[in-house]
Order: sequence, then structure tokens, then C-alpha cells
Amino acid sequence: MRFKFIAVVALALLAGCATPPPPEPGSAASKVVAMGKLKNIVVGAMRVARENGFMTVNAQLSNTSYNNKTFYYRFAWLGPEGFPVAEEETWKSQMMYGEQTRFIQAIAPTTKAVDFRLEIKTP
Amino acid sequence: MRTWIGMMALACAFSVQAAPKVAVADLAYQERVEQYVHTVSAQSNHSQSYYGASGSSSYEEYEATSSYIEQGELRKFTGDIKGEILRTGMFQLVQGTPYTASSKGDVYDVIKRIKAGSFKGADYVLFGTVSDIDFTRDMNELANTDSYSAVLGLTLVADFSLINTKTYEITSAFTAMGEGQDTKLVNGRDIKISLNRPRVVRDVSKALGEDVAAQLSQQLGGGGYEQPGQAPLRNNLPRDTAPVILH
Repeated sequence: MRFKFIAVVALALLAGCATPPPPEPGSAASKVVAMGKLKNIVVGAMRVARENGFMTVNAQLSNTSYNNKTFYYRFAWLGPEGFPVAEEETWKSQMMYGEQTRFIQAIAPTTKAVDFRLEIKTP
Repeated sequence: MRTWIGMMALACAFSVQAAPKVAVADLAYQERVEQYVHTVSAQSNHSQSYYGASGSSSYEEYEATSSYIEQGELRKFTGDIKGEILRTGMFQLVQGTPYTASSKGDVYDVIKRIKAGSFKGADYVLFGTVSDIDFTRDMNELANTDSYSAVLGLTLVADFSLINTKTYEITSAFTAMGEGQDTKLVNGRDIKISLNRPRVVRDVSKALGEDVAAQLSQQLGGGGYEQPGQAPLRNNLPRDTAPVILH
């Protein structure tokens, strides 16, 4: 009996330690690559469209803290095979006021892009 | 049994829906032809002898302008119209009797021509009349160079109506235009420039055919026709997609 109890407790502990499930494919979270832990920056909804042949992305970001926060971001543009189709972009820095929500926009540099990743990091 | 009846009904429906037959009449035109006649006859006689001299001269001049109206059909330009209509797959084509010099009656009186049996076997007649046709020839200077551009252009505008041969109802009517031009860069040292007239005519014919087919399918709701001229304009970019919101 005691053995069973310990086993159940151990299982519960293990479940708690397990890594969070990977984001659902096709969701906004699946398009975000956080470089390290994001401090007080939350990525919200994304609007993805193809306009005049080019892929465009508009992503919503919010600062959950009361203080001003700076973050860095760039987009990686991927082809149908999941490999990059454009040169690596330079990092762009963006400052957000406390509790602010803002949108960042990007247009793919080539029409071959069919997917993207938003790479984001906080200092 | 019921399924059989249903299938028979479907088969009947499909067989009835065969593409209607269309005759494409050549483009009718009317032209005022002017004739200018100018005849000059001069005669002069002169004789001289020891005793005297005599001479006579006559001069006659006749000048007249006569004009008459000529009707006919342009035999060109309809080939591509037929081709593009066939490409839409909406119609079958039949050949009508052309209007020739020996034909009696007015070329524009299409009802009389239908009644006379010029378009036998056709459900519809695509009747076109030339509104305007114009050749332009320009020489334009190119700034800061010693070259010129020589342009030969042809524009043809025609009115079309698609007429039902049984009820004389006009199913579709529109104006279509065909344009073509040939341009050459010319230098002062070039002695003779000849612009490519046949190519211009071909371009006009092709543009007219595409315009006719596009407007026909637009008005009749076919929608299956995609203008071939549009693909290069779009630069072969991938199709736009509606925005998707990811959460």
C-alpha cells in the first residue's frame, strides 16, 4: 500500500516537472522563438496575409509590467520546406511603456516566403 | 428503378446543355470613297510659211469629284475572336456566309441576313461593326540623343452584339478594342526605316480577340475565361490570401 502511495506521489511530481507541451502548430505561439526567457513581454494575436504576392505579418505585443521595457526582435522567413529563403535580418530594438500594447509589422523580402518565425529577446 | 429514372433525367439534362452554336460575322464597315478626276488635254498647232503664219491651240480641262459609299466586311481580325471564343468553351462555332460585293442588301441589316439564311445552323450571331480604325505613324525625338523612335500603331474599335437567331434578342453587347504598335529606334544615319506592319495587325487581332472573349464571358457569366494577357502583368506572383488571425 505504501509503495503504491509513493509511486503515485512520484508520478504526480514527475508530471509537474515535465516540460510544457509544445505549442499547437498554426498558433501564434508556434511562430514565436523566444531567445531566453522573455521578461514581461507577451506575444498576442498575429495577422498573417499575402498581399500583392508578399507575405505580411502584424503581431501584437504587450508589456505586462508597470515599467518601461525594451526588447529586440527580428523575423525569419521560411520557404515551403521550412528553410530560410532570405538573409538573416538585423535585430531591431523596440521600447514599450509600462502596460503598453503595440503592433509590429513586417513584409517578407521575397515572394517565396510561406512561413515565418518571430525571434524575440529581452536584454 | 427510381435511381434509373434519376440517372436518365440527368443524362437528358446534360445532353440538352450542349454548347450553343455561334456564327461570327466578319466586321462590317461602311466607307465613303471619294474619287477625284482631273484631265487636262492641250493641243497646239502652228504652221509658218513664207507668206504667212497660222496657229491654233486648244486647252481643255476637266475636273470632278465623285463620292460613293461602299459597304463591306473586313476579312481580317476575326480569326482571333473565333479562337478566343473557342478557348472559353462556352460556344461552338459555325461558319456564316460572308457578305461579298455580289450580296444584295445592307450589310448592317443583320435581321434580313439572318432571315436570308446567311448564318445557317447558328443559335447566335456575333455581329460586329467597325467603329473606328486608325493607323498612326509618329517620329519622336529622344532627348539628349541623336536618335528617334519611329512608331507605327494601329487601333481598332468595334461594336459587338450577340444576337439570338430565333428571337432576335441581344444577349450581350459591348465595344472591344484592339491595339498594337511597332517601335524602332532610328538614327540619323539610317536611310530607310520600315516598320513591321503585319506584326501590328497580328497584335491588334490578338488584343481584339482577347477583349471580345473576356467581355463575352463577363456578360454571360461564364467566368471561366482568364485573359492570357494578364499573367505577365501580374509578374507571376503567388495568389493573395485573405488575412488569418493566429491566436
